[in-house]
Parts: sequence; C-alpha cells; structure tokens
Amino acid sequence: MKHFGALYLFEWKKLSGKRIVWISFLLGILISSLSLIAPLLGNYYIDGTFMGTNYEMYQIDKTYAEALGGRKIDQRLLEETIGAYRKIPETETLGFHYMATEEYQKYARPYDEIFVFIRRMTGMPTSEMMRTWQPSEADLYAKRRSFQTSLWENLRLSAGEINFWRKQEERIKTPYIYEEHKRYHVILSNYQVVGLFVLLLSAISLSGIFTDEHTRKTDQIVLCSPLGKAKLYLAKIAVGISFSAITATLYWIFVLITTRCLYGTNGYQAAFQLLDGPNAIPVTCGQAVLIAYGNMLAAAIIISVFVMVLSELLKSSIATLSMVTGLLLLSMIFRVPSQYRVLAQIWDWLPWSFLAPRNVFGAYTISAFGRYFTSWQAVPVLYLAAGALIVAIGKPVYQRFQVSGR
Amino acid sequence: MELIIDRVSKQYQNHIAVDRISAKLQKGVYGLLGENGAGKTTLMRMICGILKPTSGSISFDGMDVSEEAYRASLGYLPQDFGYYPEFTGQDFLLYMAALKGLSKPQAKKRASELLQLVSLENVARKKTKTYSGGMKQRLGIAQALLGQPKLLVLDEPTAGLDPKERVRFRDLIKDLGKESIVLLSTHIVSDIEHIADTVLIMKGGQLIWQDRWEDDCGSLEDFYLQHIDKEPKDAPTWR
Repeated sequence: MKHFGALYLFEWKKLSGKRIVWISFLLGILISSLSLIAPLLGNYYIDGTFMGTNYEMYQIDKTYAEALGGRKIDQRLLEETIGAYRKIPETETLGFHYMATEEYQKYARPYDEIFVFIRRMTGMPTSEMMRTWQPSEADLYAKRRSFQTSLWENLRLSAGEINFWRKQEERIKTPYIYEEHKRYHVILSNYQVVGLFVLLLSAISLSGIFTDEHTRKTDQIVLCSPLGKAKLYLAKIAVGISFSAITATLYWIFVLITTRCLYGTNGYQAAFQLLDGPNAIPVTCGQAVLIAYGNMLAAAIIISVFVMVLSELLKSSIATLSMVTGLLLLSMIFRVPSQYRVLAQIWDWLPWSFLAPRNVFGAYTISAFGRYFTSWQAVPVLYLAAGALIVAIGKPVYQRFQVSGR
Repeated sequence: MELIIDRVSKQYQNHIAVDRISAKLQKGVYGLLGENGAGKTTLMRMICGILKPTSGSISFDGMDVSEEAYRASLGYLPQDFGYYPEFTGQDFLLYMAALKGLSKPQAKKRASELLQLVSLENVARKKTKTYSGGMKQRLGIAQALLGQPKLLVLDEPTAGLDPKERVRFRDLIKDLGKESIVLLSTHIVSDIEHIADTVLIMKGGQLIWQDRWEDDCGSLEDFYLQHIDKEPKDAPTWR
C-alpha cells in the first residue's frame, strides 16, 4: 500500500483542521461530564421535605453499601433486609413516602442496595416485598426464574434460546456476593448519552469527508490524479473509521477517569446481575463495561462508514447529518413492539438503537454454526460485515463521479 | 507521444455540449479558443477523465483515459477550483504529489522546485486561505506540473495573474510544449497567439477550426472573430 500512509495522514490533517470537529468534541465532553456528575448535584426531597444534598445522600448510601461489601446475598442477609424494612410503619409504605420515616433512615436504609437488588431480580412490587414476602433464598431464585421466563416469553424467544439462557444462568455463581458498584451503575446509565455524542460527532465530522471535495471543487484535481480514485477512497474511509474509533476510545477513557474520581474503584468484580437483576449474562460489572465499550466501538465504526458513504451518495453533508440525527432521535423515542420479533430484533440491533445497554445486554440471540450468539457477540461481527459491504457499495459511487455543470 | 480524441461527444438530455470532436495532438502547445458555452471546459474534463463522454474515445499513447497510467501522465489545471484552507502551500503540493504517486523525497524536491518556479517559496508555509487569487492560481499551475506530465491540460491558466506573471507563464508554457502536449484554453487571444503552435476553435460543441498558427498568419483575434460569427456547418474545419 505504497503512498497510502501519506494520503491517510493528509486526510487526517484535513479533518483535524476543521473547527467544528473540535467544538463538537469539547461540547460532547462537557455534556458527558454533566451527565456523569448529575447524580451528585442538587438536593434530595421526599414529598417536598428536604432530606439533604444529593452528594450527602450519596455519601451515606455509599457508606452503607461498602459495609455490605463482600457479604453473600443469602438467607441471612435476605432476612436482615426484609426484617429491617418491616420496621417501617405499614401506613407509610405507599409510594416513596416511607423513605422519609425515621425507621427507614435508621433500620432499612443500610439494606437499601439489597432491597433494590431483590426487586430487580424478581420484579416483585415494593409493597409485597415490604409486607407479605417471606424472605427465602430458594424463593428468591424461583421468583427470578419465573420473572425471567415471563420476560423472555414477552420477547418471543424460542425454546432453544430460553434453554441457552438457562445454561448461561447456570454459569453464574450463587449466592451472589454484594459489592458496592455505583461507578459501574453510572457508567452504564450514561452509556447511551456518551454513545449519542460519539455518533453525532462522527456524523458531524465525517459527513464532509467526501462532500467537501465537491463543494470546494477539489474533486477535479483529485479524481484525475493516479491515486485519487481507489487509494484515496480507502484512505478517506480509513481516516473516518480511525476518527470514530479514537473518538469512542477518548470518550470512554474520559468516562472511566471521571467516574473513578467521582465514585471510586469498587465494583469491578461485582456480578452484572447487581445492575441488571433478571439478566442471565455471566459477566462481572467490569466485564460488562468492557463489552459495552467494544460494542460502542463497533457502532461508531459502522456509523462512520454509513455516514461517509451516504454523504457521497447524497452529495450533501447537511442532508446526511439530518438523516443520521433523525435516525438517532427516532431510536430514542420509538421501539418496535416485541410481538414482531424479527423486526424488533433488527431495530434493536441497528447502530443507532444499539446505544442502549438494554439492547447490548438484551436477550435476543442469533443462531449460527450450531450455537447461539448473544447480542454483544453477534452485533459487532454483523457490523463489520455490513461495514465492508457499505464500503464496497460506496467505492464505485465515488470513483464514477462526473464533474459537470459548475 | 500522441493524444487521440476520436469522435467524442457529450450530451446532456437535449443539449449537446461536445459534438463528435476528433483530433490527434502531438508534442506542442495547443490553444483552444471559443465563446463561453462552446464546450471547451467539457472537452478538457473528458480529456482529464473526470467526465465520461456519451460516445467516442480518448487515449494517450495507447492508454485509455480511464486507466491509472493515463492519469499518471496527466497534469490538469481546472478553470475554477478550491483549496484546502487548513493546508499551507507546501502541504497542498505535497498532498497532490502523494496523489500523483511521487515518493516522499521526490515530492519534497519537486514541491520546492515548483514553489520557486511560481514565486511562492516565501509563502510556502502560510495557509492557502491567506493567499490572494493570483497566488492561488500560481499554486494551481504548480500542482499541475508536479508529476512532470506528458499531457498538460490548462483551463484558463493565466486568469487572475498580473501582466508580468502572465508573460512569465506564457514563456513557461511554451517551454513545456517542447517536451509534452499542452492544451490550454483562454479568452485572451493574444496569449494563444504568442505561445500556441496550433490553434483549435470551438463553437456550439464542435471543433470548427484546427491548424498551426504561424507568425505570418496575421492577427489571430481578427481570424477568430471572423470564424466565430459563422455557423458551425459553414465554418471550414481545416484551413
């Protein structure tokens, strides 16, 4: 690939010389920072009663969570938790008003994380947990199993898929060991916000990588040069892919550093089920974050290729940007109902929808080579294949461009 | 060294921009004259391979216009084109040199020579967005010469140049014509009169006149005006 390196570096120079790229990047960092720090800002009220600042509340909860660190979520801890919550007067258990009671603050709050975990695992209503449920480790897992079955049936999973998830479930070590994991909760809660900026930045920056040549009329001298067709096309594509990959990595590093400073380092080894109760993926919170990063990288790469080729097809960076922004917004407000299984799965796996952790760690699978592949295993491979196809489609469009009019 | 244009036409829906043009160009300077809309730029774009003819073929020394080897022999200065504002003059030439397949040391040497040739060596490290129109035109000429082209296509090369530069570039183009095929178009008839060995006149997409122009042929401007007023079918193709 003689001269490819030189062309690649010059294309980088063109891209990095654009002010809009830097402004968008910094704006993304600023908004991501606000999103990461938001849980610690402002005051905490229950039914209009000031309880303290959010930072103070976080500090209290963190102390309680750390005190639970390393404990098995077994019969004993379940009984302690439910026992503590039963101390709250029955008349106060409607809505969130119980949190304002002295009993909650004194007895139940230290077990809040376990209480939330049980609720997430089983889908049990709060009132039932607080008043009627007899704490039992066996019942907890039975309820979890039934909750999972109902979720998977709603998603129209096949018997084979349900069987696959049951086998995954067996790989998860129980009873769970609690570990404070706020940092990972914040990272995955902000996954979509960060991903949105990575994708928007890619769309803003890369929609001009080909079209600028047409608007500046430099296409005339570029396309009549020996390497201006095949090699330059690939160099531009390579720059676009690198740009998106680097952007995703830089944002991710920023998120890791910021959350490390704000929320500490605990939770890497915590079971992913502490974050997503009914989920049967046998990974830790730390591994889940790495998986999320890998998937965002794949989504950023496919979006970069899509944006570049679409802009060359439309010959307009504005039209491309509008289209990509529209798709991103649509993915945030619309979901295909799960009864249309195939359509729902395709929609959830499209790059703009795949920014949601529920889709990365979702229960949809794809069957190939006699085994099932989960979303996070299959989608990056599909994106790579689709990316290669899009690049192949775009190449003749770029090379056959006719300079006319003007 | 021979550029063969064989019955080349370009049609846009119901408008014929270039109508069955045939020509054989050999070493020398060819001046292309014609009114606005005569089809000069369209013909030049087709020769440069950035516009596909509706019919006909173009080849240079047996290489088809679509081949990479053809483009390696070509230098092109479009009538109107932009620059990369974030690039310096030197960056621009190095980038174009990379596109033309020059090695890094070759590119540096050639860029430096050409910047000197077009008197831009003092502003080589300044961004092109700070360049005047004339400076940009000189940089455009420099990029066209980068790969030491055997076929040089210059669309209005002296536009935007001051009289002194124009004379200098006329001499430069004349020199280039000794070793390569130079096809240039301009509205300035005197430029062609001074440097072109052969004159081509286009009207309504057709080549209405093509022959050598000697000093004893009289005023080219008068000759041109006389021919341009005739209907294409009435105009003799050969003197």
